Amino acid sequence: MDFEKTQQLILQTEAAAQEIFITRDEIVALDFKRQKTREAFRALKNGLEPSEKAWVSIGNIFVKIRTSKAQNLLERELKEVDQEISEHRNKLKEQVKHLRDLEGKPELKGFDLKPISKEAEIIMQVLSK
Amino acid sequence: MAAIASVKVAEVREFSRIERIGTHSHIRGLGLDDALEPREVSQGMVGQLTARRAAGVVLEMIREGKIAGRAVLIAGQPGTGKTAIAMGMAQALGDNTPFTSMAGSEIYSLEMSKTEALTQAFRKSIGVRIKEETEIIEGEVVEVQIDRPATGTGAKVGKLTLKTTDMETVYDLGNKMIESLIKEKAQAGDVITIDKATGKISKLGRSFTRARDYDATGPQTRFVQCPEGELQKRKEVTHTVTLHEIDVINSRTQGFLALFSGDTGEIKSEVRDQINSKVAEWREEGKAEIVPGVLFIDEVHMLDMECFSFLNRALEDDMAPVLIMATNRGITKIRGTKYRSPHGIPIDLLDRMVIIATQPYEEKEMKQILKIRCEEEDAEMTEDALLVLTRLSLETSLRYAIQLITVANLIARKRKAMEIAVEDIKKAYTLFLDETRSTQYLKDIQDEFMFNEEDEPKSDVAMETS
Repeated sequence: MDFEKTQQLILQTEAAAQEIFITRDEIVALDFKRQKTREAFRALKNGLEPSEKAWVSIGNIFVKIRTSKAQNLLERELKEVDQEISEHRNKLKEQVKHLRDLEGKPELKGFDLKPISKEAEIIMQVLSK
Repeated sequence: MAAIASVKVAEVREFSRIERIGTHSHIRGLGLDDALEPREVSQGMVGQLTARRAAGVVLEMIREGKIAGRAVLIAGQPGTGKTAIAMGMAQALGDNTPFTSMAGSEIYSLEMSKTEALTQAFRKSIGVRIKEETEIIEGEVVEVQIDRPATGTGAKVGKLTLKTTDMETVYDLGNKMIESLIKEKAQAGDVITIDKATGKISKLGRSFTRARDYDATGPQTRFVQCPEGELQKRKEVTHTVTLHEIDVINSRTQGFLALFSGDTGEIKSEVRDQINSKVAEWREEGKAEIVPGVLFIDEVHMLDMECFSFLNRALEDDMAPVLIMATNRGITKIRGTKYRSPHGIPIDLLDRMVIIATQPYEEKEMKQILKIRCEEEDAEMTEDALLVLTRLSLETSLRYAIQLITVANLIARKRKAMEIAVEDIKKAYTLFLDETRSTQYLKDIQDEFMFNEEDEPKSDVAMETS
């Protein structure tokens, strides 16, 4: 086999694998953000009256805003993070597919299906007994 | 490579398999290269280059999964590797494509009608791929805090701190979660998962870092690594189940028990219709994929006229699998009729199939096969003995020669030799008759046997071989 071609292939494979790691790290970072946002949201809900004002750090600045408003902000952020994570997960699937393609491994089939968790769980429970 | 937690590939359950040595246990695939060109000796396959090439093309066709209801007939004399080719195809298809293998005579049963047996075989060969998806929270318990109300009754509240190697977070707990935590006896140092949809908590084991917490631990304590990455994970698993399995689960009250007792009995056609429409619904909603598999019917000439016409019809269904049949018959009577037809199969069905012919093996190939079989049976053989055995197989049959390997191996071991020598083969040859010698022997002394009829037609005897 051609040396240049082999080298190219190895380079591409490594790059693809690296991209997967990057996406993985991004997902972890996003989940961290999700957990922290959730904690903040819970803390505001349990600790303070909605009419009171609370200290919120936005970037590097601390501002005092109404609790209900802060809660709304956090809630919106939670939704955004959730969506971003699921986007990243879909991206991850594409990347894994690409990597497997480069490695000459067969495609993983069925991961683009919509889940039928409840029925599938029952079926698999019965079959694995 | 990258550990992908959220896109988890269906785990391969590992178990040590004790395989017995069967006639075709040395076959690992079709022995083709990427361009579908057959290699002379590969994956246990020897010779039959054109037939293997043809089988490879059929395999590609199956893998594409686009066409349903095609039929392939593998025809050839006894002992030319028809079943071997079918086995090779099954091996090459892998685990995710359903492959059902049956013998033509299996359909004759008192408990089940012939068409029911065939329908079940058809449905065993159609896979349905589905995906299961669960959001789980997975982490090591750092702390559990439970506030019990002073009165002793009423709602409890609490906090649960979980961590992975990358993060740590606190969850507020409601009454239900607290109860299931108590029920699972989850404590600091345990690695647990919480199903987001159902709230079910399961304990995976104890974290390694807490292994030295106690001097005395139960024998069933499992130690696991602290989970990595994100706390909230998405777990996706795909399954391929066959239509028949879904049928059985839904057809009876005892359900799955029938799968193992083997006594599935007849499945009502209403059940099948229901399942068909459910699967079609899933398919339309993008929730399931049909994986057409392969149904292999060996000794297909054992089927009778009714079965053949059933096959004709069944192949036209859009959920039909690829049907592979094998036969060693020439022009003979179709079972159940007085008509003669090539391979004992009606012409109209023959017209629907592509036919792969296998050729008798040549001497060189025979030698190669015998050598492979020797390896498979852990028998060492001298070069001379192998030559003698190859000669024998040319004069008698390949199957007889393969049988002799096992026998000769035992004889060699009895005389405490490491290798099978020519004398062992000779001994085995004198001890066990092959078909020709047995026939000759019978002819010589048949007057002394009981109930012999001098002028019985010979053709019937020859037909029942293999």
